[in-house]
Amino acid sequence: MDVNMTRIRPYGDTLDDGYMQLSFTLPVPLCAEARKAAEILAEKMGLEDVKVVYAHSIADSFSFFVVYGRCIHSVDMTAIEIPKVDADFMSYEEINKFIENRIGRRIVVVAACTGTDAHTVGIDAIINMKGYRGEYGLERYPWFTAYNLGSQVPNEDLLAKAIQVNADAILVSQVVTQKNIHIDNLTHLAELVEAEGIRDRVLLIMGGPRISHELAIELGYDAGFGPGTLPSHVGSFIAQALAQSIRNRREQAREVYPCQTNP
Amino acid sequence: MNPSVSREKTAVIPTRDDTVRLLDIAISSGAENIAVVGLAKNSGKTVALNAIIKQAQALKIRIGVASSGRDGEKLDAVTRLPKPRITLQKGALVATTERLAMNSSASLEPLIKTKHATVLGRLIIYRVSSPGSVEVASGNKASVVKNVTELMRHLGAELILIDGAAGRKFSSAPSLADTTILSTGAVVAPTVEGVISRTAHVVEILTTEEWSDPSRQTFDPEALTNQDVVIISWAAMGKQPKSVKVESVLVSAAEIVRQLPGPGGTIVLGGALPGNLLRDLITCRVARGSTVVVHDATRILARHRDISLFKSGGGRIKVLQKIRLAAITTNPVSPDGRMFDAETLLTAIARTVRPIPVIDVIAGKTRNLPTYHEKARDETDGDGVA
Repeated sequence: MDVNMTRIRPYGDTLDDGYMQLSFTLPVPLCAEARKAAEILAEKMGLEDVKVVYAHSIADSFSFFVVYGRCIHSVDMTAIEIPKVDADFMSYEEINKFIENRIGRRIVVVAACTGTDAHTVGIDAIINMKGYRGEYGLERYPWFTAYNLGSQVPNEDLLAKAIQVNADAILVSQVVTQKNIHIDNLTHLAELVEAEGIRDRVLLIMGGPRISHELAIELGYDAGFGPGTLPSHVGSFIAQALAQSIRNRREQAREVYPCQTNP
Repeated sequence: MNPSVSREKTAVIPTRDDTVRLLDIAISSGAENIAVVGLAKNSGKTVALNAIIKQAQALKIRIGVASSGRDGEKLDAVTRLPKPRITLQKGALVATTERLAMNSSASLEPLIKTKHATVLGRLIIYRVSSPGSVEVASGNKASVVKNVTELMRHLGAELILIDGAAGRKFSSAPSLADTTILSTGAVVAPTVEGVISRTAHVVEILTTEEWSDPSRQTFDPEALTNQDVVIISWAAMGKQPKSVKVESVLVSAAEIVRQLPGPGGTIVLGGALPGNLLRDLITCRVARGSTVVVHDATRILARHRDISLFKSGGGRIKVLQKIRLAAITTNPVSPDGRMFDAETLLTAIARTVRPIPVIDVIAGKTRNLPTYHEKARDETDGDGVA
C-alpha cells in the first residue's frame, strides 16, 4: 500500500477515499429537520456525500446520530513536530547499571496523585513493586528509593516529603482532568517548588492519560508522560536527566560562550 | 442575548490612543523589566505583550523579549489553537532556542550562546537583523529566565519584556520584573461573576502591601534564604527577633506555630507561604493580630480559602518587596467559544480592582486611568484591594 505521508486521509473502503463515521447527540427531538441538521453540521465539519445512517431518540428532547461521509481534508504528517521526552529508553538492568556507574548512589523519587484526584492506577503502575505490563515498578529497582504517597495528596504534603527525603525527582500523577482541574493543581505545585527555591535541584515530572510533554514544558516541568508509559521509560529519563544535571553542575564552566560564527 | 455584536463593533475600530496607554502606564514610573502574567492560558498575555512591543518599537526603545512559556508560534503546541504572532523590528533582542529561531521569519543574529539547555534546544540571545515574526521560549525556570534577561540587559536592552507561561505567576517576582501586567479573561470562569471573583483573588495576593514595621529595616530580602524563618513574638518586643533555620515551612509549620507564645506575633518566611501554616495559626488560636511576612507575593501559595479565613480571623499577610501591578488587561473571548460583552467585563473588573488601570487591548478601551495617576498610593493598613 502506497501511503502519501504528506496527504494522510481517512481510509473507508479504499485508500484515500476519505470516508469516515462520526456519532453525536443533538439536544432536539428526533424529526426530519433534526436529521437534516445533523447532515448540515457534518457538511460544515468538512464532510461531503453525507449520509445519516442511524438516528435514534434517546430522551424527550435528545437525538443520537451516526453519520457517514467523505472528509475533504488531508494532513501532512511529515510537518508534525512533537517534542518528546529526551531520553534513550533502557531496560531494568541497564538503568540500574547506568545509575551505579554514572551517579553512584540511589536516586530518591517521591510520587503522588495530588489534589482531589483519587485515581492511583497510573502512579502505582510506575512506582509499585509489582509494576505494570510485565515490568517492575521503580520500588523494585535496587538503585531507586521510591516513596508512593498515594492519592488525594495536597501539593504541600508532596513537596514537604520531597524536601524531607532530599528527593531527586517529584512525580505527580493526574487522571481527573474535567474543567482543567489538573492544570490549576499542576501550576500550583510548580509555583510552590519555585517559591521554596528548590526548582534547580529537583526534577519535576507529570504523568496521566491526558498529559503531554508539551503541557509539562509549558507549565514549567521537566517532562510529561502520557498513556502507555512504562516504569522503565520514567526510570530512564530520571537517570539520564540527573546524570546530565550533575555533569552540568560539575562543569562549572564559564557562564556564557560568545558566538564565534554566524549561522 | 448576543454579546458578540458589541464585541465586533468595538473590535473593528481600535482607538489607538488607548492601546498606547498600556506602555505609557507601564513605563511612566520608570519600568525596566515588565512581566506579563495571566490567570490562565488564553487570557490574553501575548496580545498585551504585543501592544507594548509595538509601542516601544515605535518609540525606538531597545527591547529585549523573553518568554517563560512558549510564544509566537502559529498554533499552540498544546491546544492547536491559533496564537498571536510576535513581530520584532531590527535591533530588538530576544532570548530563544536555536530550533525556534529557525522557525522565525525574522533574521536573527546570535550574540551569546548561554549554558542553558532546554527541551527545545540551547538558549541563545539573538539580535533581530531584519524584521519579522519570532518564536520565543526562554526556559521555564525562574533562575534561567532571570539569567537570560540579565544577559539581554547587559547587551543593551533598555526595556525587558517577559511573557508569562499559562497561569504561572513566577515571572512577576521582583527579582525578575519591576512591573507586572496581569491578563484575565473569559477563559478563567464560565460567568462574568466567576471571572471577577477569581481575578480579585489573584489581584489581592499580587498587590499585598509592604511590611512597614520598624523591624523591616533589619531585613535584607536578598540575605533571607529559603530555609530562614524569623519569629518576632509579642513577648520579645524590643529584643532581638528569634531566627530559626527550618528545612522548609512545608515540613515545620506546626513547629513554627508552637514557638509563638501567643497571638500578635510576626513570622518572616524565607520560602513559600503554604496553606497549612495559616490553618495551623488559626487552629492554635494565634491568628488574631499576627502577621506573616514573605519575600514577595509570588511566594504566597496558600489557597484563597485559607487566606480569607486567616484574614477574617484577624491575621495579616505582608511582603518585603511589593509587586507593582501596573495594569490589568481583559479579554472577553474564550477559545471554547464563550464570549462576554467586552464593556461589561471591562467595567466590572475595573470596579473590583480600582484604582488599578484596566484595559481591553483589542477593543482599545481603558478604565481607572485618571485616578491612578492622580491619587498617591497612601500606605494605609489595608491589605491589597478594598
